[in-house]
Amino acid sequence: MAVINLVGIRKSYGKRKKRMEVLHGIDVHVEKGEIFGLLGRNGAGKTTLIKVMAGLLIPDVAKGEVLGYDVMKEANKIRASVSLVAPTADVGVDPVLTVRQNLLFWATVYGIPSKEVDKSIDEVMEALELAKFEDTWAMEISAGTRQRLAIARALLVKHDLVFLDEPTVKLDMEAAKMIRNFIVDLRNRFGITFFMTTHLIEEAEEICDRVMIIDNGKVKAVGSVEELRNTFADGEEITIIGKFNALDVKRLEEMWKVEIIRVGEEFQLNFHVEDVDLRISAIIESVKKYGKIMDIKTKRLTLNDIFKKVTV
Amino acid sequence: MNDFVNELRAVWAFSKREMVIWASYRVNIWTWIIDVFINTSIFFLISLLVGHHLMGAYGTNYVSFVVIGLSIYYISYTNLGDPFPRVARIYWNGTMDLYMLSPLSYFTPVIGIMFRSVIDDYPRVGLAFLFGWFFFGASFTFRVPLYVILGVVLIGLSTFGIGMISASSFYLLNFKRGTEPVSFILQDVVIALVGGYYYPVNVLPQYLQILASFIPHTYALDLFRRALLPGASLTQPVLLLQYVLNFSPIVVDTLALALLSAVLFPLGFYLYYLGIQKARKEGTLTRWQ
Amino acid sequence: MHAIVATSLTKIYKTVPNSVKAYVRGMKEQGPGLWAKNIFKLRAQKMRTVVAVNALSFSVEMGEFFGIVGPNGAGKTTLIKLLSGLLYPTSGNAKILNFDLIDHHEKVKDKIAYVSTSGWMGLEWQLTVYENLLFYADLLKIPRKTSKKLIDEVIMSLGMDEYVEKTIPQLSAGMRQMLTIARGLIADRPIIYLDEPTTSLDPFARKRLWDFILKRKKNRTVIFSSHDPKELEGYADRIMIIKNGKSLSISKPETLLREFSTSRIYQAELSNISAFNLDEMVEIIDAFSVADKRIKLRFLLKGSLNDFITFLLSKNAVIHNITRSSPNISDAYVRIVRDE
Repeated sequence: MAVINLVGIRKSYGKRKKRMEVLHGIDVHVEKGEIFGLLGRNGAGKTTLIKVMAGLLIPDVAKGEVLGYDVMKEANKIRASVSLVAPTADVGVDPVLTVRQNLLFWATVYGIPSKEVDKSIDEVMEALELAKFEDTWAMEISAGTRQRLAIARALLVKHDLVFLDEPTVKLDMEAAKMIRNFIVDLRNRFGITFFMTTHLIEEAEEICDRVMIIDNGKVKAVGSVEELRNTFADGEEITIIGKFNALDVKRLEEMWKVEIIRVGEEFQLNFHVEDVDLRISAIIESVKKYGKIMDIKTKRLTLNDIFKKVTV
Repeated sequence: MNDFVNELRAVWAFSKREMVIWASYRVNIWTWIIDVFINTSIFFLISLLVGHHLMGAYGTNYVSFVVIGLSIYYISYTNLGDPFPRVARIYWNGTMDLYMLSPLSYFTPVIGIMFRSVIDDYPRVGLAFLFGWFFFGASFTFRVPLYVILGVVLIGLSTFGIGMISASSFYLLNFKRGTEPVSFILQDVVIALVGGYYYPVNVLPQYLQILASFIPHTYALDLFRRALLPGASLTQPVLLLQYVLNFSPIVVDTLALALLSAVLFPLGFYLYYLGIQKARKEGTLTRWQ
Repeated sequence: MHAIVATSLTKIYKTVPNSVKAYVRGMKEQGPGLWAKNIFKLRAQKMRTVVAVNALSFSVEMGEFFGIVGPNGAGKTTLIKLLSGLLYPTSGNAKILNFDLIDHHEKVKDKIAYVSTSGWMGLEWQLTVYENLLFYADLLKIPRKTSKKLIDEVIMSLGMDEYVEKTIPQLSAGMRQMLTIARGLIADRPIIYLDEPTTSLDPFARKRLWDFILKRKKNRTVIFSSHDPKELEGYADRIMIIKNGKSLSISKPETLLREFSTSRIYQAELSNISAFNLDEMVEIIDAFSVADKRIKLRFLLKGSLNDFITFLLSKNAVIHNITRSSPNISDAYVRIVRDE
């Protein structure tokens, strides 16, 4: 089931003379339960796109639905059924209220029936490991915890679609890793669809099922990291170094596209493959029969390479 | 119906949050009392200087006269002056996006967040009466209670309507910083001059009296003074409209207030709605674009 | 000569957290008694002592790129503010280009460029990017002739030419951040402090920023904080790891990595096996579960690679990828911060 299915989003800002188009006809298609990453350079239109999809911004032109609601006509219904985590966690977190009071406030704002308020707060606090900060003032918790609180707030209502605008910006490595783990975990457990933006390409590569790269308001590439690799790479390479029987090694040439280099006692085998993911298991197994593997190295395009390639 | 209950619950949640925040600063109550005392005293001292010889139809106790002026001033100050800074606060905090992404109506957050000013400002009305009576010798009667209650409701509605008009200018006219002209012109120039906090409106030149006819404060002040001041006349006309329409001045006041409320209140909400729609087109709901 | 010599520099905050102050500032403020009101509000908070920077002693050479890394709230920003004279140290002292930080802080401030990208940082909303830069150049008393040339140079090098004529509300978050950086860099000062300069910048913008700073490297000392291990590894001559205001290590990136020179680090993507079961074979640095039972790991091999692969095959694990990886700063960082 498609959670977001939009075609030809156009949006421009400004008055007649200085009118500037930010999005030039973008299509977005996101399936339920996906972690979808939106990448792009500064000013590529990422935040604008998120706001259009969340119903906060009226696009010039757009067709299609978000959560089954028409994006032009039923923006108010879309707004009531999606959540957003802004890049600064301080947004929507009151410093002199406790963690629980903060959530309590938002639970009412989101219109959760009073009988279920406590239950849903306990649930999100457990899911994001906030229980021990329950009675701490929001200003006394660390930046990473505050970001977790912001996500907890967004999850209070069981919305199927959550927008995360740079969820790990300004967090240290450990805290950022924790947030990433939570995002994947929440998806796996509750089937929530996450639509996120980030500037850390490695982050998108790590957790996003599919990514979309936009530049100057146009889609440059969309697909899973694997698919993008297949599109943009001209072959990948697996290098195995080890001690093998010289005669046996020759037989590998029959099965694989391989370059065999002898370095003293050892062999260096360069396999040229279409896709490391698909072949490596078989290659390792057949090589292992002929001797001892000492080192393995794979060369494949990273998302970062692809990003740099498409956004020139 | 259920939706309406939810909106009320949300307003209550806003209020509770504001109260918790307010209470977390323990000295607040003392600074608040000092603030009220200084404010009220200054108001009295100024008014005693301005003069007390032109009371006419409003009886003889000038201090009582000023206490009423002060009370309306406080209510107006909150209802009219507060919505704009509240919208500004939501905008600068960046929470407008989040409120928009909830099932709440566009107006609930503004109304909810205003509660802070209500707890801050409305009790001042009571204190003004108390101070006036205790320190300055004001005295009151209590006539035509029905009209008084109606007047309180109507002046509340109409001033809040103007407040929402002023708040809508935040998005509609893009006044993102500094003072906002609608409330400035109305509250600090027009109403302060012709509203009649310190003096009866009929001491003003006629063109200013005409201007005063279009301000709800004029009628509210007239209504409350007639109803609450000892020795005030219930029949002698003071305002232009009361001369024109030939029935009881109190009824004229009430009708005028009702008319102004019926225009200003919906207008304020409509303009605010327009402002939000404009911001949704321009992407300026919050300072984070 | 050293650019910076800090001797047991300490900062103890005896105040309410910043967030309260920000909050009080944002509240409705009107009527007489306001002044007293705010003071009362701050006093009313329970005072807390926070040792933000705890007896740090170190020195930075002239022309060095000095990186600071640590968890959120470790004291990085406080340290940078101390070194730029914006904060008065509780105890200890430092010399910046031989000027005493306490006695001559007014001389210090003319020697440094301070770039902080957190918060709004007083950009003028009604002015365009160019006018903003011009305004700050005027504040820095740079004559108009030179300042225009300088600004043009900064704008070109940082790739801001596309949006010089826009006003601040029209900019995206990254553009705004670039502007705060540009504003800090127009003054050509021998010491540059960069406090998390690249957080919301895209990879291209990051590169442009660093290229620009490297181009100006001659005779300039740069002190920067960052959460990005690649940035630290790529640009820092030395790295200070700081946690709870204490320095855990100050060393060259090579030295940090040397610890791993004998061990072999691999990265793998496996499925049909859980990270638990691997414990006997490898020391896991970082494990991460992708979708349904698929895990990505980074680990140190305990035995030989051949044995590990034999083990994986015997457990029927599916290998999607396995590759030798060179140790990086984040490996060292994770180790040092965890051990603490």
